[in-house]
Amino acid sequence: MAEDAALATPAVSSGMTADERHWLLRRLHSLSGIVPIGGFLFFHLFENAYVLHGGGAWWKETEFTRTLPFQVAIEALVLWIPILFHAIYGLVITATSSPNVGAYTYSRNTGYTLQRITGILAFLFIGFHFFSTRGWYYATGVESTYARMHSWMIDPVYLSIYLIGTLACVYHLTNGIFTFTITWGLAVGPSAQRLVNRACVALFVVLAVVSVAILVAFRAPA
Amino acid sequence: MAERTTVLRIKRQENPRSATYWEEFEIPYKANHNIISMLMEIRRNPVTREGKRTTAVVFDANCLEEVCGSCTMVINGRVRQACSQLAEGLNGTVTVEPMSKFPVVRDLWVDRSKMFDYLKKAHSWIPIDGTYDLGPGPRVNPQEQQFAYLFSRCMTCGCCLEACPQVNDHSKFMGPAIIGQVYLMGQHPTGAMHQDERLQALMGEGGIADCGNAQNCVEVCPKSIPLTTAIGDVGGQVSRKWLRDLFAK
Repeated sequence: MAEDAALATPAVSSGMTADERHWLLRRLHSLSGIVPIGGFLFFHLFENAYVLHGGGAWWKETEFTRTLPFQVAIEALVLWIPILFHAIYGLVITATSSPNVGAYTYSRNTGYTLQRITGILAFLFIGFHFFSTRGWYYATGVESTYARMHSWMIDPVYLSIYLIGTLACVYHLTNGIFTFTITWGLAVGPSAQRLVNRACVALFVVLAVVSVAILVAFRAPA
Repeated sequence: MAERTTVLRIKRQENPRSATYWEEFEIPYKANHNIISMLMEIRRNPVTREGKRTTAVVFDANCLEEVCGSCTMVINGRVRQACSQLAEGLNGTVTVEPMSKFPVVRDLWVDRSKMFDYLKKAHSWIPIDGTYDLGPGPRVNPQEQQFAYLFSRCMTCGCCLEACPQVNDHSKFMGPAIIGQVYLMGQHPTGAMHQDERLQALMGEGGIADCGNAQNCVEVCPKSIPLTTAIGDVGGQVSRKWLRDLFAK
């Protein structure tokens, strides 16, 4: 009977609806950009900043990231899978955009367009960076030593690629932190959003300076 | 001395499927002329700048005081109501185009009915009809009433959809206006009783997760509706509902 059906415990639905799947993918995309990918970028800049104490200190302090238990599993779960998901689904999202910053020249609209451009640049750079360092090690056994990194950073072509790539990553993360706070309803009103935006711009400046300092430090002879 | 004129360069289209073309019209200056009154001049005497006789330019307009939203067009590359764009302050050739995010019916007349479909999809109303008197609703404090009033001024004109880079023919995003209306319905204590249905409608493809935070909507809204505040708030509402359902069901 109809009344009984209404009073009965709702049946456990099997599987997700298309709407729920869409929502879940969008939320995972938003979350994965901060945790673990954004978190790793902070750590990666931190560990590599030891190069400011010289090549020897850098090699010694980064040792533990090369000798983790379950190394490959950790790298896959924390880095490769989230980055691949975030990048590929990010391209799917980018494909639904129609940038119009030429007609509507607002700063947030510029940020919207830059977020998509830096996302593509970051994907290309991270792919290049992975295959030439960690991936290269897995393929050939050649470690990314100070001498190897140094030889790249004194090459203007490599240095340019690394400067553009790291700055794109840093912009994409800091602008992404700002939009994350809107997406999840943490910064709601305009003055709250202005405050978070300023903090994220400041964070961009700090991380950009750190990134450039690290790259330049690799130019010092061993 | 040459007579002062305004040149309108208008993007035209015979029917929804035909090709677009441009025609220019030169209208003698008159005090307080606006785009709509100039289009009415063209209707009176549809002759192009080159002296060629043509069909009258078709457009949609109603209130002529920027509260109905029907004359929304893209003027010099930016979306706005044509009736409130005075000839005064416009220099050189003025381009007038129909909105690009809606199907063109003819010339400058577009079909905005999808915005009304979105209102229906998201249950953008408060059901109070029943077989018996439900009595007065809960009281709302004046500050909340005033903030809600801002959202009630939405005239579904389409400016926010036109300026949104996430609204286009290769995306299903419903645009900012509906999110503002879901916020409005949900902030009212009686409307809040049905808010889950509205949030559910905004969860799927085309819903709030498709917002790209370009925030053009709040910049172009002729009624200055705080659309980005609604997007932040409703984004939080849908997230909380989702987490609640995830752990409680």
